[in-house]
Amino acid sequence: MDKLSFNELYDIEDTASYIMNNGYKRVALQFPDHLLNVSVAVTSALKAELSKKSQSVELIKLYVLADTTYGSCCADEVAAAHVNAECIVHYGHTCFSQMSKLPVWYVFGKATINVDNFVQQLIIHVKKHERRVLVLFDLAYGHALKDIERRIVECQLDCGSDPSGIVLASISNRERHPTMHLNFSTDHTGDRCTDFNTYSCRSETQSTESFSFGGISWTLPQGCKMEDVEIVWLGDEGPALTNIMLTFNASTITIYDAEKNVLVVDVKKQSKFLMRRYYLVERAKDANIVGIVVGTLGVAGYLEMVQDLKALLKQSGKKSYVLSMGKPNPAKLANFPECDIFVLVACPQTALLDSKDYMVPVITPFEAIIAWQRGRQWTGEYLLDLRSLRKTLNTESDDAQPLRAIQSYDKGEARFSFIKGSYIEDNVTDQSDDGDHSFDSLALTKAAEYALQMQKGRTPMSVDIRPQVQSGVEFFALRSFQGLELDDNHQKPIEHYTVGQRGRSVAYANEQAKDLGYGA
Amino acid sequence: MVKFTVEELRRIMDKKHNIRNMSVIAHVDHGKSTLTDSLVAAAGIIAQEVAGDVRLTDTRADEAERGITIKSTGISLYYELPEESLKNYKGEKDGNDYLINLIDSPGHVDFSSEVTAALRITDGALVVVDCVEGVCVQTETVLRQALGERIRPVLTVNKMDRCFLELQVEGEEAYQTFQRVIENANVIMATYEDPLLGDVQVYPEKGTVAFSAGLHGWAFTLTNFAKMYAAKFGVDEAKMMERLWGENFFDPATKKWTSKNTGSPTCQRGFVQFIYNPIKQLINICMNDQKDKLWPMLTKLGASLKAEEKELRGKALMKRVMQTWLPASDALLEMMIFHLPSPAKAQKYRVENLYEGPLDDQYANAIRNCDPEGPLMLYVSKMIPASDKGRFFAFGRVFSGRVATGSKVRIMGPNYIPGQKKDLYVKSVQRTVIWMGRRQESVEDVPCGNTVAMVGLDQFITKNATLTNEKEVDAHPIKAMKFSVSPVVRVAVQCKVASDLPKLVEGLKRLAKSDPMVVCTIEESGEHIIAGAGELHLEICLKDLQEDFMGGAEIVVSDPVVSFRETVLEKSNHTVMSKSPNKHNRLYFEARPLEEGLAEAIDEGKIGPRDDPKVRSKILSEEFGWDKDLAKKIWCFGPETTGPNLVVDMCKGVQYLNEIKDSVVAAFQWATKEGALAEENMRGIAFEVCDVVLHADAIHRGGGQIIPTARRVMYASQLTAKPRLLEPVYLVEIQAPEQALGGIYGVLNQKRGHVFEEIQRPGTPLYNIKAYLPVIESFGFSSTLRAATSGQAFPQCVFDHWDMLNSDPMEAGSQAATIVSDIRKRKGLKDQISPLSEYEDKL
Repeated sequence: MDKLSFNELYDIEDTASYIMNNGYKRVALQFPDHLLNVSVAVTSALKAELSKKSQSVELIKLYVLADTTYGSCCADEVAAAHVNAECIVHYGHTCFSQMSKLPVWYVFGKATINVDNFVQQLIIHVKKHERRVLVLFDLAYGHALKDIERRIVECQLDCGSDPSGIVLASISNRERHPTMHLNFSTDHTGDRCTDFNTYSCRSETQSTESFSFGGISWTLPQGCKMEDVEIVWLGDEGPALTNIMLTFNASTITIYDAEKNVLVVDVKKQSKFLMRRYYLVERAKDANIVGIVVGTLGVAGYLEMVQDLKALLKQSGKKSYVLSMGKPNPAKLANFPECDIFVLVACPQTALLDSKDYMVPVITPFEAIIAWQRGRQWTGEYLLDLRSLRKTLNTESDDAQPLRAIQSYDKGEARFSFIKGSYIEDNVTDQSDDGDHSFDSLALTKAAEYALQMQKGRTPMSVDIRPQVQSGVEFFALRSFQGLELDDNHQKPIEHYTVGQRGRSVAYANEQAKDLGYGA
Repeated sequence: MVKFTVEELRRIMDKKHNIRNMSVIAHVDHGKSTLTDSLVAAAGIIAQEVAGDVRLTDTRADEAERGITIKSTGISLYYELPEESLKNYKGEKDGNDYLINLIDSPGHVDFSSEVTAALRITDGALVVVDCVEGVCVQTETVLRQALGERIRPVLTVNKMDRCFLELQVEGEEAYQTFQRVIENANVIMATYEDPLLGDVQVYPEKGTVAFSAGLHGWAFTLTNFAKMYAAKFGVDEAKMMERLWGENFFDPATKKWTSKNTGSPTCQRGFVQFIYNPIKQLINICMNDQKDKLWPMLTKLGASLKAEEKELRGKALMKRVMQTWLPASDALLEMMIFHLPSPAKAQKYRVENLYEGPLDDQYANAIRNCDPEGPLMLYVSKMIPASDKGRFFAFGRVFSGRVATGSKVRIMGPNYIPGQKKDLYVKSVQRTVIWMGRRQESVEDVPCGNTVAMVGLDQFITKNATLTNEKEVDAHPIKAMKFSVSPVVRVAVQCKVASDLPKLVEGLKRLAKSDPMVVCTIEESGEHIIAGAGELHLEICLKDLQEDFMGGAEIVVSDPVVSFRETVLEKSNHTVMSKSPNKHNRLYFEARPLEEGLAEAIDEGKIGPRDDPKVRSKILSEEFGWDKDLAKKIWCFGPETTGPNLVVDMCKGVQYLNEIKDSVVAAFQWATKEGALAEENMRGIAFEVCDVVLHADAIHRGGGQIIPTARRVMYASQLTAKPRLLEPVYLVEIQAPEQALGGIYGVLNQKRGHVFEEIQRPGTPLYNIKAYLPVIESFGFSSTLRAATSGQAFPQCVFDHWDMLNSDPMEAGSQAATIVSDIRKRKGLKDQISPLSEYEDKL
């Protein structure tokens, strides 16, 4: 494989012409952390390229954006807005999430791949399974697509096999327009997938199905369904693959490791992952206090989703708090120990946070809807895109009439909790009940009163017993530490003083810096 | 069978003095169901229309197949006492007809929860004991349970036929055996001294012990014979009864009663002389077909056979003769009516056991008086699957008032707290139903003292509940039942076809409802888990799940999963420290094992978070040698705030310590739930907070900084304190003849079990063996044992304690390490235990 030149690697030429053609004057270049080291080189190369094409280069300003507030896969509109940029050029891996304000031009980078070896293994794989194989890939391998296609055709001619056995996805447009220019939410019932700009969508024309997912799109041949095909994934394991695994969980996925040149099947992992999410849904059903974590400020529809979730939670009698904290990490989320679960509203590829380090699970909006919308069931279908998710949420409420009949029947029925292994009762607040309003207005007072009572009952010696709490207020009321005790009567005279430590925490004054491993 | 209409049955239900609610309890295979069958055959109530239908107690095909009872089955018996028998009855009565609601319960330990549920709704118990095997483990367990619920027992020594046909023992030897059986039972009962219930021990001479042969359908009490001989000897019945048991001897030669064996060859014990020998003689005559001797004897005994029955020979003849002479139903039913309490009588003293609220309020009084006009108090003890799929009957007992079709009831669930709205529903009863044999018949209402099934409440009752009238808002619920077994065996279930998942979920919900003991949960990995009391219990649950609750959809069942516990062997070898993410806070911890017995004390609730600190510190210092001050410094228990692990504050004068307490507690609950080895619960670990360094600004020592750090430092201290695994261990009881012992020992050795007690039952060739067996080895134990002993040994396993695995889980290749890696694999964790360096920070 030829070594790609720097300009080729970062698509300097195409990027420059994109900027020129659209006449942008202020351009933000967004780099993920691991590409920051090339940002200067890219900027100067781009400048040089631009100056080649136009005389008035001075007018085009390039800004480098780094350390994105949220996932680096999404274009950071807020940061771009600081410099009043007219468009963003995004480098590195991306989730292709629809942005709400600015147009984005994506540069994926180019990963190396041994095309011959890949195609060879692919064809063996097809022969072995005798099923249609769909090749999906990480965007970084998009550049090798033409080579792969050519090789496949060659190989098939050689051995005379059926060329329709392999379906190759293609990269959809590298350029994205913000949703504001598109007619969003007006006709989502008609042709659902006219623009290929959403994160994932599926459209049916007569007998063929077309899909678009995270920047790549493909059309299945006639009479073929996603359940019938085997997916071969070209690329590393990562959020993009996880998303595909979740969304198309009925198909088996084989991974081609481009570094080791091997095909790996890992069915177990796929089903394990889905089952884990299923567990999280069950966990969510038992939650009383929910933290809605805003994990994006750019992905289209995030605000509406937050609103929808709030309404949904209110309806199901749970308390919700909206939290905005940049990239969530265990330490940040642990600052809210009162929350039983967090819902992360973010772009599809950052929304899946599953780590044992988090004290309580973090779930996606899709799982939240499954858990809390009455009558919804886990069917195995999985949606990550906020917009398609909202569509299902809305269609569901459109025909709410028959649904309500079921609800009134269901209401009051104890729900079976698989976490506790018994039936438990939900605190469904009945909104039609006017009698409760007086209670609502006094709720805070009552809670405070309750808190005081609890306080009196507690002795300083008492050991922690934490009852179920319904809101943050109750939680705080039950904490053992309530602030400094200013009660003078109990203050014992201080008998003994010791001098505390001084200096910076990495190495206090009395500690030798080199003992701590920060030395020299 | 008595043919009855619903109206007639309903009429007797109003006579609260003429009702007997009772359960049949015994060890497995002592003949409960067979005995019940013989009663049902004679006195069972069936609806007129279905008379002549098949037998009533075979409700489940698998029960018949295995020959064991799985679910407790209720059956109503009607018995009309002849006037002359009633003349000795001192209690209150209302006519001569009696309604006996009998519940046949399973004897296998795996289904003890069914027994518990049955006992709650009955007032008396017929304890069945095999005359050869004697009082066994399960007899003892259920008997204790019954007495705990203030259920009055009567005893029947069953399988008498074995004495005559199989063992052919002589009179005196047989007497000794029976005497020992009765004594053994009395030893257990004597421990329950209860002034209200009175003497609960059983005495043959008082008529509270029967002798029966369930298989052949005959039984007697001393009363039967006393009546017979009283006339002959010209003494009254009571006197005669006393003479027929105990140290009373009769010499026909001198015609004198003595209290000692005079040594003359004709002098024999009263029981042998007048009861055992005549029966033996009759049986021998029948078996030898000596019909010429038989007919005059029968005429003398007042038993007449039908013409066609006279043609029978041998065993069949014997059976028929005995049934005619000493019908089981008469003897047993009479005993129940005479010696077991009516609801009116029983509820007077049971109210204390039943009612949670103050014992002088109107509800307590209504229960006490069994007042049909009082407020409704009804306890639902189990949910019975109805024929239309997915629905359940709520089955229970009316303790006061009456429940009517269409009436509105308040449903107080197990978590209901008076005055609050939690776990409380008001719903109307769609139908009240009573059982007429296998058929359910709707009735207008059911008064107190009776059992009832209700339709339309199943969505609001999980497993059990208390029902009362809609308006009775002050009523307290009836106490929840205590189960003697716990669900320790678990399997993961999956549906074969992914799209069947909703069916599985629905099926599990129903399963959880139908069985008081089964627990359906979901693991962190997303696997559905069914937990049951034992292998057999689980097997039945899975069968029910697949066939009844999922409509036959295929399921995949994993190998049994056993949960382990993580503990430590020694104190941490050094004080470990972890730094918070911002490096501004440091926590110093140590872990040490709890003193022996302390974890168990916490399990039993002897020591718990709700104790008075003074009491707790007293127990800890006196029994476990804790420092008095230290005992006051326990921060919390965990996991779930009540578990057998502790956090103890050992630091002195640390600033802001109060502030991080909540965070440490939260982290502790989290860490003890998922230990560092395999994310199993921890057990028996005390975490000592040795020192903390905190940042001066509150914002830098918040939960976000402390919680993850405290969790890490606890893991680090666990790993430095020689972590070990604990495995659950069963107590196994096996009864087998001597020749099977070799096989039993072989199997136990092979399965890592060890015998700690081996006793020969006096007077029998049977041995009683007690052993410990790791739960993980117990799967297939029963069948292996059966194979090794050619079916002579039948084990009963109950969870007993946690036992430490000696091998080091940190040492690659050890047994514990293999188990840890298996668990981690199942849970989808990374293969290796995270190294200490991941949790401990260097200064």
